[in-house]
Amino acid sequence: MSTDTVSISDLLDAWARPEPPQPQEETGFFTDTTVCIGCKACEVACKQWNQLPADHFQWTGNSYDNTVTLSDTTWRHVAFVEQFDGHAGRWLMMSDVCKHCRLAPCYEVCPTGAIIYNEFGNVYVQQDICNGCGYCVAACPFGVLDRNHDDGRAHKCTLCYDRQKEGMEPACAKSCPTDSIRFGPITQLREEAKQRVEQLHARGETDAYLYGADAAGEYSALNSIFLLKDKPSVYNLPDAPRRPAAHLKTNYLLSFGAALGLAAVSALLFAREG
Amino acid sequence: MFVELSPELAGERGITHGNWLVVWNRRGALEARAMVTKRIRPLHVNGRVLHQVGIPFHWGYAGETVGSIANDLTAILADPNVSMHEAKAFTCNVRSGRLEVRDRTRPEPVYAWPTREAAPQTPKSDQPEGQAI
Repeated sequence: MSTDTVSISDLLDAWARPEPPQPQEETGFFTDTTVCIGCKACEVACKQWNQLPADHFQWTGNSYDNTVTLSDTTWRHVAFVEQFDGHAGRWLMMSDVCKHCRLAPCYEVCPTGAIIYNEFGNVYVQQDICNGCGYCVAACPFGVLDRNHDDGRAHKCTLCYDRQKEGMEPACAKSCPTDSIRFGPITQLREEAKQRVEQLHARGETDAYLYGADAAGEYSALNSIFLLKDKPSVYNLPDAPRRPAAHLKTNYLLSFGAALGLAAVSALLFAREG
Repeated sequence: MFVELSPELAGERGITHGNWLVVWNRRGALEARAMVTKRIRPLHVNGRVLHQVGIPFHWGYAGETVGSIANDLTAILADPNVSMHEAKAFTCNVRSGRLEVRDRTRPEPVYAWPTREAAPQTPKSDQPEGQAI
């Protein structure tokens, strides 16, 4: 007969925290849109690996883009932009994904600490901690995060954390037939991306540039960088992404000032009446 | 199922983007939604304007999404070397509207296929691929 005695140390184990994993080299994506052929293999590979449901079977009529947007169940989205107004037309395609910002607004606003930077420097939503408040959904300037209607929690690209832990590259990068999506240590990818831009410039493609390689304005650099050939807004990316926390001080001061002003006005009115 | 066509052809035939159109030739007819796009350009051959339409062949009467079958319009012939259908370009005609009579040689009911039973009391995000009902 076994004795089910509970010692104090057993009880304290509930609060014990395991050692966090050793930080690894920061990883990220480099999405070269000039070689994207719009096959959507990344979307399918992402859904298969992450066991996301196949959904949204509506025909939108917007070029070949029936995925429409990133969502809780769609972590890769290929955007199609048709530019055929001039004589020579072009069809821009871009595989959109979580930007894994170096200073992510979703990480800053998450009240439960569910959103963390994992050992690979990727922004990761811990599903067992997320309480579904949706602050991150509002904070993300790229519209990446979305809450699931069934479990209520926020879901987004994990940068295939589970695969990375096993030393594998993410499913989308693995499946990309043209290597438009590249995965690797982010410092190395930044170098590769800069070389690619130089190569394109040398070939006369002078409109090629990098999106998110460096910090710009109030926004940090991204760990998921893009090589674009037109304005970011053409690809449905913000030209100047906003980081809500950067406006905290101004907004607090403004509301404080407004409160003071209103108090002064009401005091004045009451004083007149009396 | 959708069919891509140029704005010029769409204007000529009174077809509007997103609405139904019928593509037919002597072999068969199919209905689809019109995707009017400047990607498809009319060809100028010997002084004649030749219009092109693009028909994807990824639909059938079964599957996650259903639609008309592009091969209803194609001739049945295969390249003997690679056993692949080789007649992917052919003449056809288009008009606005839908098919009046459905092709009765095709099975009428649209089967849900492949059948995927939703696991009870499991959130959709934890379901295997496919639609949770």
